[in-house]
Amino acid sequence: MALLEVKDLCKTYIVDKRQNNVLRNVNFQVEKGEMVAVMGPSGSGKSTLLYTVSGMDRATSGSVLFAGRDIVKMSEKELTEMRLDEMGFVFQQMLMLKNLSVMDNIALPAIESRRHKGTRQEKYEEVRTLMRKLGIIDVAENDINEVSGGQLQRACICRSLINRPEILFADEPTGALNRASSEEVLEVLTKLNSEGTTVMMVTHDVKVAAACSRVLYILDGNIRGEYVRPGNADGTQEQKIRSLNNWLLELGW
Amino acid sequence: MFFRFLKNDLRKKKAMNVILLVIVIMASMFMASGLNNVMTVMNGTDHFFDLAGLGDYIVFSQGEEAKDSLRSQLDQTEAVKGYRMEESLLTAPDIIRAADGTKLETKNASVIQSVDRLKSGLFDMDNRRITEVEKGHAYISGAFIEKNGFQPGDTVLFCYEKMSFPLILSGKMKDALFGSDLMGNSRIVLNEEDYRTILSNTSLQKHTGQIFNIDTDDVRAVELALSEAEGMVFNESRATIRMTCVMDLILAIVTLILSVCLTVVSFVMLRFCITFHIMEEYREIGVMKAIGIGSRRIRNLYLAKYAVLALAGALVGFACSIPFGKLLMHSVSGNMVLENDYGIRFHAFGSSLIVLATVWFAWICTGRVKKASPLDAVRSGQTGERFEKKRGCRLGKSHLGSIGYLAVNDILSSPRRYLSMLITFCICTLLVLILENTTATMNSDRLINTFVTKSDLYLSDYSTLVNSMSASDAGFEQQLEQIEQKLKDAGLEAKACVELQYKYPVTFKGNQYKISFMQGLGVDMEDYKVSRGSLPQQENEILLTPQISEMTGAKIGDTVTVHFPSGDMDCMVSGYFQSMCLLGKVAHFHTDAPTDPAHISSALAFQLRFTDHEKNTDLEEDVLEERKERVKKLFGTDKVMTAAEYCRDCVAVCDTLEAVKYLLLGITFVVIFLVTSLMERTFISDERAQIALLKAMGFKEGRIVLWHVLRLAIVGFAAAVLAAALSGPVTKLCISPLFAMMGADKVTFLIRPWKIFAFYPLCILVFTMLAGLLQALYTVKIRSRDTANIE
Repeated sequence: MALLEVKDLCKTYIVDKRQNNVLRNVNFQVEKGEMVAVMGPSGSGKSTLLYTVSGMDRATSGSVLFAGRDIVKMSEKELTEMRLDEMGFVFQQMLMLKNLSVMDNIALPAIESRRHKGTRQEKYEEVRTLMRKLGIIDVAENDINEVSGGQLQRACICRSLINRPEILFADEPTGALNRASSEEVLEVLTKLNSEGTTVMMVTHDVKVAAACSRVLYILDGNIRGEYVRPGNADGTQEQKIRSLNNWLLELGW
Repeated sequence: MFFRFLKNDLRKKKAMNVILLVIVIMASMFMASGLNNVMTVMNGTDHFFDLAGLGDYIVFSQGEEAKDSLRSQLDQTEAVKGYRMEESLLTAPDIIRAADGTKLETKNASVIQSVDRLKSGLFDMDNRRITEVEKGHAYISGAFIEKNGFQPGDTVLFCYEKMSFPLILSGKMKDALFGSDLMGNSRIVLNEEDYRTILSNTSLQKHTGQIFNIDTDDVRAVELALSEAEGMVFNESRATIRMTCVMDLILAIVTLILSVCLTVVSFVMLRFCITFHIMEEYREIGVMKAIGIGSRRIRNLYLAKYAVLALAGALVGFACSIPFGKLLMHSVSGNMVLENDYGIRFHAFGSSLIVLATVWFAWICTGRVKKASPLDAVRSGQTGERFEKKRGCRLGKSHLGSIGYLAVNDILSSPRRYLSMLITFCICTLLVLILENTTATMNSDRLINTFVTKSDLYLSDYSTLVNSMSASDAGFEQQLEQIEQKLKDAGLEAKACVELQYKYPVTFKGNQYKISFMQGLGVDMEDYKVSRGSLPQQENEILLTPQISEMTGAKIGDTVTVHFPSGDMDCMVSGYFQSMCLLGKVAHFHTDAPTDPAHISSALAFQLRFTDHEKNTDLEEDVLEERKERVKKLFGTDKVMTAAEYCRDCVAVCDTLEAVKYLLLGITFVVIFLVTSLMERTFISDERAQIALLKAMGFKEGRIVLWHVLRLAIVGFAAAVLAAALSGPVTKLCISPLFAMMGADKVTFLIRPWKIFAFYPLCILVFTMLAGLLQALYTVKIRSRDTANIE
């Protein structure tokens, strides 16, 4: 069974009494352990898709089955609990609570969660382990405005992983970062995926998308194409990027 | 460009601009009404006395002979610049009765006058001078109408011997001379025809008297010139009459303090709001600097914006300040015409000050624009190299849950942001607590020794006292014996006593003064309390109040000469005592001093002390209450009081002060509601991104509301605790001078811990949380999806 199964998903906004169909009968699946990228031009509906399938926004119709449960039918309370314990979300803007240190920001969801068992000390030990793994242990006690963009985005990834979610959603995780920081973040995401974390992200960056096992191309609210990295694609990074680029060009990217 | 910027800013940042506008309106309203009230109160009594035409020295006399003698004396005294004489009738207080003939609650003698013979200015409740009274109608001053629960239009009965006719109450009047409760008299103003009808009763004619309003620059000379004059019932300076208005003045001063506090609150709020506002604008300032707009131009843009907001707010605040100021003054001006000569000019001045303050605050806050680089501005004033460390606590070391931690950490990280709120709440709560301590003290028996000695019950039936007085001092002694006997027959063993007042000339170092003395009849000397020195041991030793000591210059150990009718007596001052009788202008004789019953000027309540318990112990409350009811039935009067009730009766201002306390509590709630609402909305606007993030992270809506309410609750609680801790010393600091004005220099305030440390703090806390909750519910509108729209 797929971890995430999206069927006939529609999302409509009413702006000035005008109906704007942002998502139109979207269908796709994400298997456990996959790393999926959603690409498309600006305004194509990719962020709306990510927010809708992660339960942060309500679908107008259709269904989104997450681990067999339809999140479209879930109450706000159930959705909130699910976001806390089963999903992680990384934002492009590297949003953090400004009055908390980097480590406290990461630990906060763990302290809030009832499903995450253990004492506060144990949870903090997990935070430290995770920070060490993502290479930001040195800035644990720093305020959020004392660290670089790359470190901050890695801290955001740590926060989204602290409750050991089933899936990690990321909305343009490298969008606000320089090249070096983007590479750091990509490396972290790839490593996490190789360790079994399911990742679904929205990106404009072909290099980032090329690291994913599958790419969905969305245009005008519809999935227009699906790129699956070839099984023998053990070639160089450049080859992967070129291959994906060609596919995207075919779709009018 | 200015206009377009303003238009867009006002339209796009509606919420924040509306918050600032409301703050300016509040500040302008409080400031304008506060300033006006301060001016009104500062000159309150003098303005009223001038309007009423009150002289510098006032004399009541009784009898035609006294009138002629006083007039000739005044004509001969050089210091007298002029005088106005009004005819009146000085009658027993029960001359006005209820429509069914039953006696009403009155204190001292009633003064009856015809409206046509008035020389004083008397005013109705709308501050209009009373120039005519319809036939069959009457205006009455003092607390008579309120105490007896009358309304204008009700009918009372004029009763004297066989003469009786109804009078319709036209209303209460504001009277400079008899208006205060401390004077205790009621002035009744009638139509000339009704007055003549009363005068036609020959036995009433002997009660005719005169009120002299004497104008002079040398009160002391007039006092000396009249010291030997016969037939004077009352003679006091304008300064002393002013002191009788002290109760009204206390209320006015409370209003003044309230006005000052509200002004401080509005300034604190204004400063917070503008600082916060400009911090919010920093990113925009950075963008403008980055595209090359000069600092001065940017600064002018913001100053123009704040000037427009300040002008609009001040204008609305100015309009609101007039009814608001009147509401505040109305609660204290029941007995006085409290106005000033400046009209709305002070309101306008107050509002203008707020415009200036707003622009000034904006000028200071935009000062950083000049120094900051575009990048600094974009980073909200941070340079990027020397970031300040937040001083919050660490979650790992905290034992609080995540929401509790977030709330505490926010406060510790940005204490200045919450300081304005803390100061505001603390000031408002403190005001309520000060009044609570004051009214609690006035309603207790703490002040009893400043009037009389402590007893179990006090019987203040005026008619019984008057009967005793007409029977001379022996009458009082007989009355005491009769009271004791009556109680004994009813199975109540008690000792009765009474405090009598006399007025005797006193000479010290060649200067002569006419001083009121008190002397106990049936009282043990050891029951009195001295504040310094010792109790008189012999008949030629006296006690003085600090006020009398200051007036005469006599100190402990000095000898003054008291001119008794039986002969002069040198009396040594053995000590000081404090007294609220005659506002402290009183001395005390030894119980054996050779006083003359003919010189009794007044008597206080009969005191009953039950002998079945130790003198220095109190009877149990229910036993005392049961005995009080029995004594009431036994003497057929309702005027039987416990020590606390008697104090309350003497101080007379308690009810009004209680009313002001509740008004203040109401204002406090309104201020707390406004401040909490405005600040919470400001916080929500600032923390939109964080709220959305928490929701995206999986924090439930209820938890986010709780986070916001908890922060406000912590500040509310801290303010309440701080106010409770400060209430004791601040009450002493603020209210002791007011008690000192009334004659009590050293007052031990009664602090009711459950009210100060539990009830009121809880009220403030609940109200803060309620106001916070109402606004925090707005966070529900922020969705986790909004994280996508955050810059």
